[in-house]
Amino acid sequence: MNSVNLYDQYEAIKDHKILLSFKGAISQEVVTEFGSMIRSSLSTETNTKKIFAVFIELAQNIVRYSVEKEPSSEGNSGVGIIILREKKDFFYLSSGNLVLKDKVQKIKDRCETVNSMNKDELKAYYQEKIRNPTDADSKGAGVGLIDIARKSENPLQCEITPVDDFNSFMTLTVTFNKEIQ
Amino acid sequence: MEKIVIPKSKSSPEVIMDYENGLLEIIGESYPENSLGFYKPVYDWLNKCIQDKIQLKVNFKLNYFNTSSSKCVIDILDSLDKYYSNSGIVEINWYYEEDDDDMKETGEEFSSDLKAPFQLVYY
Repeated sequence: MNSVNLYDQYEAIKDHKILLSFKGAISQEVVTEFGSMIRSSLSTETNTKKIFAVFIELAQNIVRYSVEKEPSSEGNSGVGIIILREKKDFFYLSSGNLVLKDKVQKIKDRCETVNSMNKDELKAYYQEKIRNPTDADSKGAGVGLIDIARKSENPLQCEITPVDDFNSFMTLTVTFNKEIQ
Repeated sequence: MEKIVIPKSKSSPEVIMDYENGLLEIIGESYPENSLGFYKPVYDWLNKCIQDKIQLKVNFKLNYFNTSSSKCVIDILDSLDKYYSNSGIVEINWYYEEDDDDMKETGEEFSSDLKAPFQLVYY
């Protein structure tokens, strides 16, 4: 058995809490279970609904689009990592998964587009896109990132790490201001 | 045509399709794995009602839906609106919990381009 010492990790994240951390095959079942966990652990916060909604979008994106699949798992699932952290003034929801290299630029462009928009522009863009889906790759409504940006009210962070000739690892981080109650 | 009830699950709403009374109700939360697949029977039922030119009342009583479900909700609204423009009788009610400003705003946003009668109702 490998002995585990968590002290280094504990020290590294001294100034914040980790409310949820998961790495593995994410299926609809997992999405639902963690969703209710987020709801109960944040039940006293004012923006629980927004964090829950963004969690669902990020987690379902992993189910649908992660390049990495677990062969043994039942039904649709994708491998990825999801972490929900809490600091003094913010919540951070991060998701990571493998994406095809040739999709990277498109995802980065989308993040830049939504980050360049204000509240009203995002609203108009959402309205336009939901009625006129233009993305052939999309398995949903094609407005996930727009919806996430609207709920977060902060810039989306998109980090890409090249992995091999075909894949890159994408990390999306969504920030939520803690509201003063 | 008999009344059809799709019971709610953890991630999908209860759906009531009552042909005799021209009533469609969607109640609960909607983030199924495959929204298009989930709402397919609803479109089919709605298209049948529109074809038969019956009077329709549609109640949305949702407290959360994901973006792929929102696409389905918009599609339902658009086909109701089209039916209304072709002289169909339509009434749409959008229920939201009293303190749920987001769901109220979503209702306002989704109805902004509609001509069919659309009411926001709090509960």
